[in-house]
Amino acid sequence: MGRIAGVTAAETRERLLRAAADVFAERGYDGTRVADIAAAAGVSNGALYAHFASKADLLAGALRAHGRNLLAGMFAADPGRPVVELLLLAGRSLARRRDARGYLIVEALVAARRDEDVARPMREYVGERAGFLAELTRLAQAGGELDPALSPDALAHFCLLLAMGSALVTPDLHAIGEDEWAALLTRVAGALARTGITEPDGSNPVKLHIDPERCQGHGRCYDLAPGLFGDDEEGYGQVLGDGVVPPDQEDAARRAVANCPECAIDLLEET
Amino acid sequence: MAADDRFVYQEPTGDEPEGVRSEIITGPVSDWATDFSHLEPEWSADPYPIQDDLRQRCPIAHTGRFGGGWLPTRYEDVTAIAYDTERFSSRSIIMGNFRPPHDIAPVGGSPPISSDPPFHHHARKLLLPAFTKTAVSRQEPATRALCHSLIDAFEGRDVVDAAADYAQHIPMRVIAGMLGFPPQDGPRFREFVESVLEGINLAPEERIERLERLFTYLLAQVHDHLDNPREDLTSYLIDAELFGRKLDADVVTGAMALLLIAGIDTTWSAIGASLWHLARTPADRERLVAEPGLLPTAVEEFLRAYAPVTMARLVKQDMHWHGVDMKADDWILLSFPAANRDPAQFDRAGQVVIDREVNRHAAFGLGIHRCVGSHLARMELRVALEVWLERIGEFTLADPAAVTWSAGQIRGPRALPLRLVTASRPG
Repeated sequence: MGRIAGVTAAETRERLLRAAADVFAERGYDGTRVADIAAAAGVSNGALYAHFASKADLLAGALRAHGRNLLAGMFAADPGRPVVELLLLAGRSLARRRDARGYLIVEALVAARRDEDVARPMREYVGERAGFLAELTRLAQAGGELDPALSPDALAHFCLLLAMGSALVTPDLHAIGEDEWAALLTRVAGALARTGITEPDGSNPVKLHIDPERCQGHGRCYDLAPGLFGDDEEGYGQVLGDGVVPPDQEDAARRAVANCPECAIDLLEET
Repeated sequence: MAADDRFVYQEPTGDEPEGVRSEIITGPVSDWATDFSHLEPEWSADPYPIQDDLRQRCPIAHTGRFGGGWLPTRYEDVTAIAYDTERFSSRSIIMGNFRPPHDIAPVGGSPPISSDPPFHHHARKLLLPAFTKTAVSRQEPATRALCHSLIDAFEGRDVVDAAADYAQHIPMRVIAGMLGFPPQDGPRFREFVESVLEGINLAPEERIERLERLFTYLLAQVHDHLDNPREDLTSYLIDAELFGRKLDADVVTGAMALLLIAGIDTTWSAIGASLWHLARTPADRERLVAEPGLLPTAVEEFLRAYAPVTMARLVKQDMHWHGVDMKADDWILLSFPAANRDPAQFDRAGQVVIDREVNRHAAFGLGIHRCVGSHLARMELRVALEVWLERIGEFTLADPAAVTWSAGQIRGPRALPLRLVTASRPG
């Protein structure tokens, strides 16, 4: 039945989602045939329909599995991390160029405008994203990080607009300097915070973060600051421990940030 | 072991997909902005003034040679193309007079360098674990010993060819060891490298015959490994699985070809260019002899200033891009060396600053096609220079006019006569 010996159903499903993400991102929803996705995944059309009922179903599945959702990824990796810090990190990356999958959402939103079959699962998907953001806001309010008077739904909506808008207004169309953008976000976060976030003045502890979507495994970070970074089994950079930089290693941390060819490392000042 | 029917030689059936050949145009370039060619001697001898000039007056140059192509020289444009796999295909990465058929994508002839998403991700994943910094550090002691033995052989000579007698042997021996090929086949590797990378403007029949020699050799190595499996990359690729199936024969031999060709010429060029620089810059040479701890920083600067590798892409569809009208199947000559000398990105871009602190160079490419062998190349380059500087502190160009540089997309010295001012020290 189109199954490849030694491959589980879950693996086939995962392969289909990966192929769907790449093919939709490249050709758009209308330009993609279900057979193209089956071919890219190396399975038969029959096997594809055993997993997904329709093209719209595949699109929503691909978005959930492989669409860009930096915030959810970072939260899952480190649930104890301050929410405002997560928002700032995710916000900074919005101004950067991303890989093709980062623009999958654009294809899905356009298709949802024209095709009710897509609009239905997309309303559900956007609802999930907004719900996650609102939940994160409540968490931050309960933890005393964000002003309790803020409407979680309004902040969630605001973040969604930024995230989705950034997929539409790409750096190719209109670019903004990383530092200027980061400074603005810090100001916005300061206005939302209960305690207020201060402008970085170099006196606070700093914390490292690698954007896994940008890291390509050049290894400059673990070459230059082996006490702060390591590599995984494929050579991609990893921040060691919780990423907080001991004061005596701040120079090494800044050197690693400044030498990353992909600009994949962020250094955040803690407050 | 049971016969592996993937690797049985098949007579060409005549049904193989055909690519497109363009007219071979050689001879002096009239204007680099409208007629560039990376295969002319002026480019090989010194491409940097040409690139600097183009960056100022025509940042995306054009040529009608090779069936049409573009040469961006700004860091910004080079990186935008490297990141944009949707508009620029890696279906062929050697700019020449032959464009492979469209249906060769997304795998391409030598995966993963010739692959596009989504296949690229899977093919690259197969190779990454073998080339991490930790994995390649296992090659370091043997590499160091080899460098010493090459210098031992200089005994009694005051002029040596650092390209032919030193630089080339290091990556050849290392990659032959990793692939499990006979170490004495080095001279054949050199022939393969020259055929693939420098034989661009040869007549098609000659070019095809030379490439066939390479693949016949690789198939023989595959059969040797089928008969005697061992712990090396060739056996690993023969056994590797993708999507629950073993790899197709042309994926196995394509990846082997990539590792062999890309593993040799590039590092050979980087070692040679670094020694060339040190031979003519006594201040840098003396400083590195006195401060060996500075070498890793200097290595990055040599990689920036003398980046050996230029890649190519093919435009996927007609489009207006950053001010020029590109046509489907136009070449892009993706010059990382030109990007690395863009003054908009690098302070003192045209100078070699061996203690440069911030050095976001693109010598190993950017984005999903980052050189899979970059950790190996860095190790070889660092060890080759470390041993050379330790054993031969003082050296000069014996005859600057006798230095020759390779033609094409990989640039480095191919003849580099150096005068050893102090006799080599015992290792």
